[in-house]
Amino acid sequence: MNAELLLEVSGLSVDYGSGPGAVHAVDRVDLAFRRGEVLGLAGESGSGKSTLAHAMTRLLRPPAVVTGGSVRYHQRGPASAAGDRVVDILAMSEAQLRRFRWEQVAVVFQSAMNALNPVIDVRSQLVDAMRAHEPRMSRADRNARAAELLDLVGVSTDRLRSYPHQLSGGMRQRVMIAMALALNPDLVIMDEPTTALDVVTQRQILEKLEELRVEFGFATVFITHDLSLLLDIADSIAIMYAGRIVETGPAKRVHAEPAHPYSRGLINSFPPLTGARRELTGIPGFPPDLRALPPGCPFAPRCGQVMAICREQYPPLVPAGDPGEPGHLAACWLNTPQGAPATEGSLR
Amino acid sequence: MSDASGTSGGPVPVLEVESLTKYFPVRDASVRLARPGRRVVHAVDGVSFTLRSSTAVALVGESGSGKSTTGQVVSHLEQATSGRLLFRGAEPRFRRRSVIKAYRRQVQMIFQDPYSSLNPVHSVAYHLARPLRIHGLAKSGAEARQQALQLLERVHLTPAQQIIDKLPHELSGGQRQRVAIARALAVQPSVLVADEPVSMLDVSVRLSILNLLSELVTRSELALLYITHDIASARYFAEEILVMYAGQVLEAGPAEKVTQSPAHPYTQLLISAAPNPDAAAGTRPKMQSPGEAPSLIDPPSGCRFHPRCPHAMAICAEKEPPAFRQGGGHWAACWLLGDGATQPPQPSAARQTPRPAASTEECAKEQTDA
Repeated sequence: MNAELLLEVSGLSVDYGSGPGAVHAVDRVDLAFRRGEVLGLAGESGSGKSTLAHAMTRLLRPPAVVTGGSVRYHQRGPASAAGDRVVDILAMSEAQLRRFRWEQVAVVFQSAMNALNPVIDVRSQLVDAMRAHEPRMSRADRNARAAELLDLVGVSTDRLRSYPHQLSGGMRQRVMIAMALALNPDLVIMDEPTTALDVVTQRQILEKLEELRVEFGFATVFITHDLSLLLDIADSIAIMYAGRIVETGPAKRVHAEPAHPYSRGLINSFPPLTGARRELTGIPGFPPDLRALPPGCPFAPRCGQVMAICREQYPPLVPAGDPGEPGHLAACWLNTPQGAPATEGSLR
Repeated sequence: MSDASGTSGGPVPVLEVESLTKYFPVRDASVRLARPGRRVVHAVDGVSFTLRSSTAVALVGESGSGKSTTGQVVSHLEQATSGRLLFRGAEPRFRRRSVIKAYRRQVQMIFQDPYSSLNPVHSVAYHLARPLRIHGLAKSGAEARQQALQLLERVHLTPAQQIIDKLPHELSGGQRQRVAIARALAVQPSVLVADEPVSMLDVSVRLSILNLLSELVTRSELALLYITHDIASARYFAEEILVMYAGQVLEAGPAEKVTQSPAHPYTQLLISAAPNPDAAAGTRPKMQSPGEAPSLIDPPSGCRFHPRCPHAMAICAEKEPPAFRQGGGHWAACWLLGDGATQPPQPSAARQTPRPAASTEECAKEQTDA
């Protein structure tokens, strides 16, 4: 995919609380993606994936504090000016943020029931963002756009007058997506958008999203704990563990040749629907307590290939695999020259 | 549905369910006013199956398909509207409290959410000792504690001495679910009903819980009813799969047969919708069935799947399909498999074996016209 850069996150850290009791929910995360790309962000609960997404859009609330880093967004300039205008989201003023959100970046949250207002009908909620951002739009235009949006996501337009409780879970989630697309954003962040839904509904919504993405060309950050889903739909994947990205790369590559033991364990945690029925082991142990992370690699206590250095120093995020592939990085001592015998056998 | 038990022979049946129904009265005034008369939700409508010791049976379906209600009726948290429930060949007389207590000792349940199924103000020791004291399996506190320690070791929560005095909030989700499993095992039940035991847990610990359950089924000769929406995990560790839709079982049989050669269009839909990264890119068929699960207050006539079915025929809206045998204990209730089929079901990507000719093997199931 040779499109221009859309968003660059560098060295982003987020703490909950401050002082010695602070929890490092996101720790020096680097991430970049391009226009139109689907980036999958996978991780377990507590791995920092939602915190990262909220930090990127400045949606964090106290006690969360961004303690470092930058989020550079490449805003498409006016047609006359050459190139993009680069803005740091973390440095925006409230007024700038207000315009930026929804017009440039929209978010779809997991629990549509909580994100929709239960006492306001669907039409009013769809029209709300347009009223705030484009006050010159006429009422008739706004209503027409609301109907168009519902139609886009595959919900019948007579649902405009429905209230959220009258819709099924799948329809609510579709309404959320319609709202996100109201102002044609360049980036849509989806925080577990299909987790509460049935597989069939989930698949219908994913297909609809893909259709819309091809039509409108927005980039997507898709956050989920379900790695098997990401392998299906994402162009590239970033896997988080205990607040850091442990592996990132093209989806197919990460699936075929996971370089981090945690990614390998995750991929082996999904029973296959086809092929031989075999015993799977999953990952031993339990997710770490972020308040008391061990020194070195936080995955070391659960890792089957742990070495002495793993317990002392955090591994750098370096190109993985032999031969490597552009963009495929992993933070594991097994991938580095310092990490003992990085032979074929130990990598697979 | 005499064939619903799936594979015949094998271990002795522990629990048999025959034509089980559970209707809930509708309390919503707007529904009642719009259509007067006694309105009910047909949550479970004519479900039959058999649980055998050392065997796991999976009940797979979407939310609202009645799978959890079935589990609740089996563990007697809900009373069936009609149908028979046989425990070791006899029907328990649930009107007597002593019978309920004895039954509950034999049939235990594990719930989906380990964050709400444990009492936050009580320690692990309390949770494990309570069933032991209630059922008279431990005479003293010391004895209960001793047994609780053994239970923790059985579910691999070690060191047990450190875990036993913790409060639920000090444990991770996976650890809590292990405590819940230990609590269910405390009374040495013969049947375990696990309602989505891993869907609230982190992906990396799900498999270890499934493996633990699988180990317990074999070692403790448990009969397990595994309720899930995830057909891949059902295939992973259940011997038999029942696919539920709108309160009815549409297809059942050995796990491999149901997942590798699904005969019912709904099962085919479920399988094609499941994430499957191992499938080669581009082979996924487009979803052919729009729409959502039907209302259970007014279930569709005939086959309940017909409004969404890509192969629906005239007969599907008129008559409920009987179970057509597919061989090897595998059956499906779909008219496409019968004599009157005008078109064969389209093979989905997941189907690998051709459909066996089923017309001569029509099942002995009573046809209940809708």
